[in-house]
Amino acid sequence: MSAPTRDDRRTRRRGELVATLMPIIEHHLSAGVAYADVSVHALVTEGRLSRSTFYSYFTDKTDLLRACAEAVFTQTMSMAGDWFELGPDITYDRMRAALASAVRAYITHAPLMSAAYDGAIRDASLDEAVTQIMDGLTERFAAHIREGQAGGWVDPTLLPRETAAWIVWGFERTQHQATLGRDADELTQLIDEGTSVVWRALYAPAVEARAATS
Amino acid sequence: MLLDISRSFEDDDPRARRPGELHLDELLEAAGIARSTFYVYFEDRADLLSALSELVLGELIEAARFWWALPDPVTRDDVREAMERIADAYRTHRGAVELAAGTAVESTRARDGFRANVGAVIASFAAGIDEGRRRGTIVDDVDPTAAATWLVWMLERGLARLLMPADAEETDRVLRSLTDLVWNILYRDAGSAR
Repeated sequence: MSAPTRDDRRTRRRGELVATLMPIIEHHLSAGVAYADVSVHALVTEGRLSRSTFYSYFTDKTDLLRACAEAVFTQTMSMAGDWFELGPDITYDRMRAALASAVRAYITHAPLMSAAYDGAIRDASLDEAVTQIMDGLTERFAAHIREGQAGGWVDPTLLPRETAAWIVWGFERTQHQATLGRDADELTQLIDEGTSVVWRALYAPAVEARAATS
Repeated sequence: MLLDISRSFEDDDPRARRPGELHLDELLEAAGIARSTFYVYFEDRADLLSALSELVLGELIEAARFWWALPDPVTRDDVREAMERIADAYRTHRGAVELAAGTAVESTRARDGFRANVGAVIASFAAGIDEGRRRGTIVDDVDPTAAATWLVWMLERGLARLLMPADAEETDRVLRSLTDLVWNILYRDAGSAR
């Protein structure tokens, strides 16, 4: 194993700063403050950093938001794992449980992701980061659909890639609108709605056909 | 006047230019409207954008009327035609929709305005689904609000992200997959639809 290079150290330090600053940003966003109105001054003061440290790792606030979105994405991939690992023994209840764990994990970062996605409409670099994140999720989800089609538990007529893209955007957008001021009941409603729609869209046609022939 | 402003975006590629970069002066120049006239009708840029998003989302509600009036038995081709109409409405007004969505982050007021406008589309879709259920063209065991919420939000960014960058072949795949999803969610096994 080679010694850590300067780049490795820099990447690690940047990651540490993201971990420090992300809760601070999320605290402001959850309080209803727009990302545009969260100042670098507030971030460095609350994170106990110097301005120069901030600017040696991030070109600006947008760069920080992009780094945060990428960090959330890495976590999203692992928390969506339950869903992607659903197999031939899939049922409505199992799908609901997998969706619930994805929602509950994602919702904590939803205000931040919302700021990133909305900002992407106005900023080219954020747009690129968001596109990469959504393409990554879409690819994983498309693989899940193909596996289900081969295994007879996802509607075989669906086009895997495009269907995955629609569902991923649907999930993403319904989550974001649900971020501010959701109580437990509303969260349960969000999960129930998502389950009922996605179950009908992807799994029900194949699972019902399978049950009818067995 | 709103229509003039909306139309002035029709040839504008929203991906080439960020909506946030558009200044009020440019908007008015493109639409051929004098500043003084503008302020007779609108308080400011945010006020205009809110009205603009209301207008284009209203067009989406209009475009969906065909969808909710589909006669029994509904076929997959009918649903495809309904999706084509939605896509056409979006294409026509895409500049204004993107602008409204992009400026929704500028202030709490703009965001709440945009959400309220999208909320009106969701309510209209839910009413359409409910009506279809009563007429037996749409399945009973779908929750109108749940389905409407998903469909509207899926369309809201999905059209921009999936349809706009697509070439002819991909456009067909994007609309086909949308049709199949809508078919499975609302129509499969409903009434006499097969």
